[in-house]
Amino acid sequence: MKIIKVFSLVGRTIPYAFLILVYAFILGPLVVVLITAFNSYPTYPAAFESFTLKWFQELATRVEFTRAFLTSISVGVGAAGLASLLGIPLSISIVRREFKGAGAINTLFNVSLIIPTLALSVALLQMFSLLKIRLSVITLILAHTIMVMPFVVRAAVSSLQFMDPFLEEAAMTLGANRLTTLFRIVLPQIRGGITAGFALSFVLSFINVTLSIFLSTAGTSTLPIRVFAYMETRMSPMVAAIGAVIIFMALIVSIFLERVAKVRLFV
Amino acid sequence: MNMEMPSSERNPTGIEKGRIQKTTADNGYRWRSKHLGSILLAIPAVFFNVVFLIAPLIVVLYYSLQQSSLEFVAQGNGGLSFSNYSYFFSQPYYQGIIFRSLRLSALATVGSLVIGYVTSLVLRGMAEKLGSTPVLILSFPILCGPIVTIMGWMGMMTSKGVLGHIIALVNSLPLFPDIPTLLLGTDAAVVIGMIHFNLTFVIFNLVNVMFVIPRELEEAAMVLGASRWQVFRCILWPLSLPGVFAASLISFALSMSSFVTPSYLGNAARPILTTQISKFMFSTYNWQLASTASVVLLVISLIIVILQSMAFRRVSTLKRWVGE
Repeated sequence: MKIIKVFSLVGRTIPYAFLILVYAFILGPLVVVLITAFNSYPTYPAAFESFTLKWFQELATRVEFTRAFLTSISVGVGAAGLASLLGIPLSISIVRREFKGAGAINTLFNVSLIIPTLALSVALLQMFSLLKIRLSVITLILAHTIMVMPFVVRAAVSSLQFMDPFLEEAAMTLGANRLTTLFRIVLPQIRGGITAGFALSFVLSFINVTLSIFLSTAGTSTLPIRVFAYMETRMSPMVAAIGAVIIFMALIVSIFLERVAKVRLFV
Repeated sequence: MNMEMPSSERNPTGIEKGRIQKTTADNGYRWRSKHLGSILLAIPAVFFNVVFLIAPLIVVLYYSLQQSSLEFVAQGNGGLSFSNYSYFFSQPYYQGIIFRSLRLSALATVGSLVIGYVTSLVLRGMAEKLGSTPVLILSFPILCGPIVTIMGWMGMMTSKGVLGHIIALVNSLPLFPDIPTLLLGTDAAVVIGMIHFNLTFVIFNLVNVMFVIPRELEEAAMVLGASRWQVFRCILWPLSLPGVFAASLISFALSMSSFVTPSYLGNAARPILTTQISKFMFSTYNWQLASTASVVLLVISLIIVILQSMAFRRVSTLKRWVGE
C-alpha cells in the first residue's frame, strides 16, 4: 500500500517537474540577462556577486546606444503608425466583405505572415538598389511597415468582428455621414484592437533584427543591430542592461495586450 | 426573431416597420455606395503591399534568373535562364548547405514537438487549476526578441555558463563520452536556439487542439475500464494528430527561415541556407545566387503553408465535430 502511495505521489509530481523544466528552458535566457544586468561582476557569464545599477548608468552615457535607441523608437512608431493608417481601413473593408476580393485580400495577408523575413529583406534591398533609392530611415520604416501590417490587420479584424453593426446603421439613420460614423462610432469601438495592434507592431519592429541588418546604414542602425555589433567584439554586462530594458518594455506591452485588448497574437 | 417580437408589440406606432421599409427601399443605392467605400478603404494598403511586398519578390525572381557574375556559371548568352538554379543545386557545397538546413530543422522540429506535446498534455491536465496564463507566459520571450534570447544563450552556452556546467556534470558521469563544454558555435547550439523559439508556436498549436478534446471522452473510457495508456493511445493521440501535423509544419517552417539564431549561435564556417544567403549578399556580393537561394527558401515556405492550410481544415473539422 505504502509503495503504491509513493508511486502515485511521484506520478503526480512528475508533470509539475516537467513543466518547471520547460519553463526554465523558455525563460532561462531572459533570467540570465536580468541577473547579469544587475550583477556587479564586470564580465559575463559569472556567478551573482552583488546588486548594482552601474551598467544602466554606463549605458546612459554611451551616445551610440542612446542614438540607436532613439532610431529604434522612431522606426517603431513610424512603422506602427503607418501600418495602422493603412491596415485599419483595410480591416474595415475586409470585415464588411462587400466586394469579391475581400476574402482574397484577407488570405493574402495571412500568407504574407509566412514569407521569411530574410527573403523579404533580400528582396527589399535588391529592389531599392535596382531603383537606386538610397537607404535611409524612411526605407527602414517602409520595410518594417510591411512586416508588421498583418499584425495590425489581425488585431483590428478580431475586434471589428465583435463590434455591434447596428450602431453604425443607427448613426447613419440619425443623419451622420460616412466619415462621422467612421470616426465617432466605428473607431471608438475598436479602440482596444487598434492600440493592441499598434503596441504589438511597435515591439515587433523594435526587436526586429533581420530587416534592420539588411536595410540599415551606419547612420540608421537600430538598437539590436548596434548591440549585436558591440557583442561581436566583447561581452559586457552593459549589453545585458539593454536586454533588461527591452524585457521591461516587452513586459509592459504583454500585460497591456493581455489586460486591455484580448488579442490572440500568434495562433 | 424572438427578441424582436416584443419590441414591435410595444411599438404599435409602426415606426419600426417604417424604418425597415426605408432601408430596404434604398438598399440598391446604399449597397453600391458602400461597396465603393469598401474598395476605397482597401486600396491604400493593397497598393502599399503591391509596391513593397510583391514587387520586391518579383525583383528577387528576376535576379535569380539573371546570369550570375561568377564566370564559371556564365556560359549562356546573358539573357534570363535557370543556370543559377542548376549551379546551386549541382554544387556539393550548396547541396551540403541545403541538407544541413533540412537536418537541423528536422531535429529542431522533432525536439520541439516532443517537448511541446508533453507540455501541452500536462497543461491540459492543469487547465482548470491554472487557466490560460501558463500558455501566455510562453509567448513572452518572443516579444523580447532575438536580441535578448541570444544574449542569454551566449551567456549560458560558454564553458563557464549554466549549460557548460550541466555538460561538465554529464561528462563526469561514467559511460558518457566527453562532450565539449563550449556549446556556442556548434550545430547543437543552433538546434537548441531553434527549439526555444519554435516551442511557443508548437505549444500554441497543440493546445489549440488539445483543449478542445472533450474531457468526457476520457472519463467515459476510464469508466469503461481503459488504462491511462489506452486512453492516451486510443483517444488523445488520434484526436490531437491534426494539431501535431500543424505544429510540426510551423516548427519546420520557422526553423528553415530562422536567420538570427544560426548566425549568432552557430558556426560561420558551417552555414545553413539563410546564413548562406546573407553571405552571398555581403561577403561574396553575388546577388544572383542570393536571390536563387531566397527563391528556394520561399518555395519551401510556400509548400509548408499549403500543407498547413490542409491541416488547419482538419483542426476546424475537429472543432466543428466537438461543437465549438
